[in-house]
Amino acid sequence: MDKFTMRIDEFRKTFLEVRVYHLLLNVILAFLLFTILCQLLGINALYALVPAVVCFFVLLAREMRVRVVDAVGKKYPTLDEKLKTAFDNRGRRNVIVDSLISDVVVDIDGLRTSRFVETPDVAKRVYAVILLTFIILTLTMIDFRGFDLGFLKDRALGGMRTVIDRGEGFNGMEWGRDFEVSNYSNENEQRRLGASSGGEQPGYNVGPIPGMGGGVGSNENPNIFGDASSANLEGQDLDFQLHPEYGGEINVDETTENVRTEPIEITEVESADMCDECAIAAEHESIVRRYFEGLLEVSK
Amino acid sequence: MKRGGSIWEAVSKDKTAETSEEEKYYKKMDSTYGPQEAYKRVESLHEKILDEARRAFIGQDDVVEQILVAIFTNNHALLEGFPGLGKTLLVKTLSDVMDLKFRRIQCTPDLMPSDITGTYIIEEDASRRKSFRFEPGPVFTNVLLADEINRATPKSQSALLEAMQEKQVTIGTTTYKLEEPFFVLATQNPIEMEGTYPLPEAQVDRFLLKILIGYPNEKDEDRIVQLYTSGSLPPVRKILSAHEIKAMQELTRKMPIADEIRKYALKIVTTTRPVDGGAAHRYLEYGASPRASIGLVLAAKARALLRGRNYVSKEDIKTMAFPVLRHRLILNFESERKGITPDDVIEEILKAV
Repeated sequence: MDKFTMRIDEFRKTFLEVRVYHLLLNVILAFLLFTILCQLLGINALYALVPAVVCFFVLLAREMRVRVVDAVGKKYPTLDEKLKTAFDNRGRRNVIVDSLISDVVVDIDGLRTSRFVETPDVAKRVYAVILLTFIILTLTMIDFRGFDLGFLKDRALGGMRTVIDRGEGFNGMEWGRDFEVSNYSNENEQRRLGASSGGEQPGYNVGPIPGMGGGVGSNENPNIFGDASSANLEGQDLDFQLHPEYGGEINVDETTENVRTEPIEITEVESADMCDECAIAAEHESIVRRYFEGLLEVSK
Repeated sequence: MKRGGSIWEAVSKDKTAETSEEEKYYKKMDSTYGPQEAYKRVESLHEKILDEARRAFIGQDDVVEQILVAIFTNNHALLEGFPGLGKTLLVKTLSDVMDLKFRRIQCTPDLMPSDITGTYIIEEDASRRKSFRFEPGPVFTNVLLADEINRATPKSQSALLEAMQEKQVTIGTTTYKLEEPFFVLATQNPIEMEGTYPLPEAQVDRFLLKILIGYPNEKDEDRIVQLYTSGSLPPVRKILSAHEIKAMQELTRKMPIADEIRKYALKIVTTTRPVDGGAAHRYLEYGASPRASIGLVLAAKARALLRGRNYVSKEDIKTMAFPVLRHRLILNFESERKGITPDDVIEEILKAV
């Protein structure tokens, strides 16, 4: 191998290292961007690896096609034609080509690889990586439900046709009073959301939009205990409400007509004597009688 | 067909003893002088030739360079300029600088082909025996200046064709090889077109370059006036020998060129063809031939060599595109009506490519 080819090969290796560094930065950027997108769509973040890997191979293929002499020519315009001529005629031997090649070898020795590191470009990418990492951490640590774009995925899975037919498209979330989080939340979220959505935290979705105010303690509803919540006791739907003015006791109100499925009817009161297993002590008999009589009155 | 390779010996029968000494020197040079030695000198050669040419011909360095390009590529050039600009003087001066034999033909409508190539004459020897002897014409030289070539008839013009292309002359059934280097530098007058015979396309194409000689600027003209109105002209020194020129011609062809630059030259030439559309379609009837592509690359190589470079640059191609292409582009009627010149079209093509 002649001196020129050796120099070019050496330079190609160094140049490739620099280019791969740029390439990896681009791939990291792509990965972070797709990770954020996955988080917003509620998809597993590991799926972001797929476009990042594709991006890596596409960029690598592009980098491999770049001739080192073209890249040098761009950075050193005065060397451009000289280097390309030497490269294209490296197989020839005559007095001029020899002189050209010896000139170019000296020129290549004077090249500084650091000039191929695009410092402002790298700095911008590094800043972008830091920013995107910060965004990912923020999204992971803080629960931004208002920015949850998971509904896009659900809609997409539900069929684009339906979305188009409704004329809703991808215009963002449906802010306003018609918003019902239970329509858009998954089971995990429902567990943590308001009771009316079947969740575990009563009062969360009280107000126009969950988490956006108008709920417990807000100006819209001064009742710190919130609205009545439904419960079912012995097959009977009941509304529970706390009333601090009554000393914190729990009132069991009559359920509303539309909630109650069937009235409680006590057609016959069985005497305690008739039941051996449920024998009531004599001193408690009067209390139990009054309880059931009270119940009978309530049911009427 | 018989080959008469000894015609040059016949021509040089009357050479002086000094010429014989020169021949001996050149023979010695021939055995030792090669491209290696020529290449060592090439960097300084350009400036030296220009300096010598400036002694007699002032303010036309570009023209001198283009003539040298034609010579180094072993081709011919067509010089066009108004009368009185020193075209003949320039060619004579360069012949002296390069130590080449120089002949001149003044082309007129009554010029016969035999006036160019030579003819057989009857000669009587001592025994009163008559025989035909070939009397070589002015074409048997190194540098032939065909002054006002467009005034010669097409028949006489075509007599130059074989000499220019094949570097040989056929008289009757005998072919005579011309001594190398051989250049035809023809001049044309762009005015007074009456009574002229414009060169046919086939002949124009044989000239590598069409060099335009313009008026000198005021400063240069002042120097010209001083030079030619005060005493005798200083003699020019011989800078190059015929052997060195041959070595330079060899070097020109060895000049390396990048693929990208060669493709650029090809793109320029192919863009001149009206079939490709663009500027050519608007302004031209016919574009340049592949001979122009060869010529453009060769001319660029020679320019690079003259400038002391060891590679061809785009600048060489751009600069040489004008003299190489301007006589090969045939303008359409619309362009001629508007007064558009081939140089305008080339300029536009260079911008587009």
